[in-house]
Amino acid sequence: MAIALVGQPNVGKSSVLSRLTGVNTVVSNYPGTSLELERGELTIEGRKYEIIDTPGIYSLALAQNEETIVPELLFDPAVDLVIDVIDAANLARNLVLTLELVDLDKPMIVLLNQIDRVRAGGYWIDHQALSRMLGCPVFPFSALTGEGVMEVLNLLQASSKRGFSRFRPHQDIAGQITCVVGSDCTGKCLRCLSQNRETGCFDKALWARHERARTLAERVLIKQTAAQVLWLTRVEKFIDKPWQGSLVLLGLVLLGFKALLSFTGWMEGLVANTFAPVQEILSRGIGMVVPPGFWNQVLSKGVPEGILLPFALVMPAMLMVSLLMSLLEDTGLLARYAVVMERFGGLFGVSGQAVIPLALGFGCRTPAIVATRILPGTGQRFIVMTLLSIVIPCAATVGMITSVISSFHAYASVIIVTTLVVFVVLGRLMKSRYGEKSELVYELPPLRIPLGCNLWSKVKTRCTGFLTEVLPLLVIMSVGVRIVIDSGVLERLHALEELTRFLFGIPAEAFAAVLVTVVQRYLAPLILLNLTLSPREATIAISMVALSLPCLPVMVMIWREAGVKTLGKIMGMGFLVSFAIGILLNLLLPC
Amino acid sequence: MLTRRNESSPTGEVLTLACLKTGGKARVLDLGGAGINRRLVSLGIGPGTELEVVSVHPFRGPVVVRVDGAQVAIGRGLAEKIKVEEPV
Repeated sequence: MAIALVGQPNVGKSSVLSRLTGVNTVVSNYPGTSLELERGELTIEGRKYEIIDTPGIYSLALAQNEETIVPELLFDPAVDLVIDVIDAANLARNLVLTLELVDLDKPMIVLLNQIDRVRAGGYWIDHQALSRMLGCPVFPFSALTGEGVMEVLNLLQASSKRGFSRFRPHQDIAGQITCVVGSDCTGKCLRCLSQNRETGCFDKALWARHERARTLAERVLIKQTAAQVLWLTRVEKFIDKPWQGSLVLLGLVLLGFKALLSFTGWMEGLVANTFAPVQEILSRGIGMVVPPGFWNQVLSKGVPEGILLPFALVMPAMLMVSLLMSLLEDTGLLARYAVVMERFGGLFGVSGQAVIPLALGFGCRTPAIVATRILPGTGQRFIVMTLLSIVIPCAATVGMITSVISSFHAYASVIIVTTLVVFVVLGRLMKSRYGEKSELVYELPPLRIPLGCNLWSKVKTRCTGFLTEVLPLLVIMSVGVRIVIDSGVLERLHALEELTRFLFGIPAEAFAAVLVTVVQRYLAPLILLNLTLSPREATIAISMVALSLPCLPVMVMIWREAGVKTLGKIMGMGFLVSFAIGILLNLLLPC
Repeated sequence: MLTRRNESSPTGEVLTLACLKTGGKARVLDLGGAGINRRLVSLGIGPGTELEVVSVHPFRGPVVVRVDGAQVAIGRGLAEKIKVEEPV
């Protein structure tokens, strides 16, 4: 038995799923990105159902690119039942999809989600009348209060033996839409028009379905009492005013950033203390097993570092950022950032949401790379990933760089201005190359109170992926880095003294520090601090270190999220930017 | 395509969505362009749709409108192409 859960975006489908399946059985998907089907299991009285969650989709007929998996799934005869989740507060528009689903001629159940919101607005939906008109069961439902959950589960249980065939909707309800294309048309616009997208018929049928949905909604929506204003609606009204809204959103970014910093700071000490003995044991264990020599040294240092670095530094940040991102998504605040920051993002060829990964990057860049998933389109993701990797300094980088600046009396203002200029120039350049020109049409979901179990399942999904996929890669790269350090390649850079002095105006050791940033973010400043540099040399070297490659976990994350090719491109650009900055500053700064 | 012809605006003045001020109400006459129309239509915006402007973001930012129960943000460039009339 397979059940498909279908609904438009922002109807609270994942919360419905959490409610129906209890906790943690099914993971919710990232909106707009990982457009994959999530499969889970629902057991009622010992009988198992496969439940398939689909990405939110406005219309089957309009499905594009990855969205087409939804109609494909629904045409599959293996799907026995369709559960259509409707945002009851937005009935007319949601019924459009319902009418398309009716065309599939499959058993269907309709859930009027967020019915509590409708009631608060002083309305009531005559679900029995709607059920009669559609010819399938319709339930008032609220993922927030749990209303309707038992009714749906009871119905599924009662029908598990007899099958769902009596829930087949009436075909004539949507069949009144007539098609104007050729004579071989069946009149089922969803199917025939998907082949004739460029004819006017397609748009006509689409709009006809909208008008039909509107009349249906008008017939079942009954005004009952005076509207009661929810406090959330008041908050929404306040936030949706451009100026004060922007201030509130900005404040929330700062608050989230603060939370991230204090949480990671607190966890770093805790984890480091707890894991120090583990690192010791691992290091000794490997040292005893592997025969002494080059490999013994490399493995006994590289493996523990690769395993512990993510737990001490990256994992706490990942946890916090996952929680913050899930909160933003589930409350509906994320969409508001997209709108407020649309102009700003437009400067760099990205949409307004880009401000979120960029802001998170100032805390820790590894989870920020994951957060780029909220961006539409691979081009946009690439732009933001590159800006994150090369330009945005994370909290740890800022801390270390400031300490180096003060000990050499380097020109802080030059470094800050350089960073800003690189940000703008690189962003503009990437915009012309990878930017996507698209007009913004974006639905703003109402503000909601997030469900705890939903948040938890999202955080869990994001962090599990990190442990299973990123950790092994980190160990491999950490060993690779050890090989480079222990083989003594870096010492041989002395031969380049003349070249580095000529090009960048810095000694070869400082240049080694630039190259070492790839390896470990703590290492580069340490090398610099051990040198004797003039303020001018320090300024150039620090700028080159700050604007080159990110730390190892970030690179691993890019590898995992966008593939090794993208990582190669970003690394190439990182070195290019770093060297260009070195040469330019050497030319511009007075000796 | 999605155009209502032979119907002149009662006020005799055709505006674009971008001309409206916050709180202004209007009825859509015509959507500009072809491809994007479908996205607007799937959000319930088409000829005859009544909408209310919730906010207009500064610096040529998006226009947010309320359609039925939902709020939709529309980029300024697109809003300038959508022809509307003010209801009587």
